[in-house]
Amino acid sequence: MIYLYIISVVVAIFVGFILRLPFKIDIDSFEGNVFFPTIVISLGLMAILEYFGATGYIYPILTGVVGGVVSKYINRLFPGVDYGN
Amino acid sequence: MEINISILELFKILTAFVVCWINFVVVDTIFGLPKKPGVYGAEVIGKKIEKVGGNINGGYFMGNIVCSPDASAGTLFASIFYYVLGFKGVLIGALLIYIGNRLCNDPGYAGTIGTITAGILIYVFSDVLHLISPKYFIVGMVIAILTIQGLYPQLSSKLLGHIAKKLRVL
Amino acid sequence: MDTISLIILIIGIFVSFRVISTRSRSLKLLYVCCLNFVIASLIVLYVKSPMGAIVAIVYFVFGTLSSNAIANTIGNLKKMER
Repeated sequence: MIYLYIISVVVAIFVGFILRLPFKIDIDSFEGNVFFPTIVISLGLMAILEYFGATGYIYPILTGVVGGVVSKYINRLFPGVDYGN
Repeated sequence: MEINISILELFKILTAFVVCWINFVVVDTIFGLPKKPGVYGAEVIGKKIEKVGGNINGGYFMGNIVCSPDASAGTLFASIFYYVLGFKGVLIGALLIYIGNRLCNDPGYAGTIGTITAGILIYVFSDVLHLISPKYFIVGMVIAILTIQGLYPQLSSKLLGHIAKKLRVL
Repeated sequence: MDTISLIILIIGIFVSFRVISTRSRSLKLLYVCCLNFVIASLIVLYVKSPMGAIVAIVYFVFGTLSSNAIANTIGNLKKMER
């Protein structure tokens, strides 16, 4: 059902705007962007939930919120190591 | 044990090999893998390849492939998850490759975008045109990584350096 | 046996000979990375279900993490030997 994924992406980007994630894409930085890990995490979690048979409307909203919040704090969950160390 | 190989199957494997090779080399070059090593281990491998007669930028590329899941691993797992679960599997694979990239100290752009572009290519070839099924993309990717890393590292590093200059990344 | 598994198996045997016969520690890591690809695909082609795919990706990510650590240690050893 493709509507689940569309709702999930829209909610994730909306939560990204609210949490004030940066907008410009920098390919060398470890911080989250408003687009990059939010869409990947929210679509991945939605695909896992759909495999287990979830078709309600609460699940895309939940997934979008989790995607936005994890993307804000991604540098504390998986910290990078300084080069040469 | 009976083995039936037909010319059509060999042709499908060859086409899948070319598609996988182009996908992972182009995506990795665009995201700057030949420009600088991501971790210290990639620099060690790059300097060793330059010492035995290769190109330093190709060496950094191959060192980055060894030390972190990049678009080559992304293409392989896009075909594996597409074979098992369809296009939804590619989305799950992209999430797991992103977690793997973070564990190996990499920002994560090359692996994830490589997975999604490979998923779109496999969708076009297998569900829209009905030509090549996802099994052949798994073999194609294994043969592609063999030609880059397993046969002659000196020659392939020179080829990767040349492609990086052509795409104006260096 | 399936044609595709047979091709991947022959590639695996060839690459494992190259791992054994190379002298340099750093170049062995390139061939070990190829072997990780081969084993991950063979796991999925044997167990044709989602659990096989999960096992393959977990094996591959931890294999790559180990190769990263080994390459870092080889660099530190060379710095100490000098």
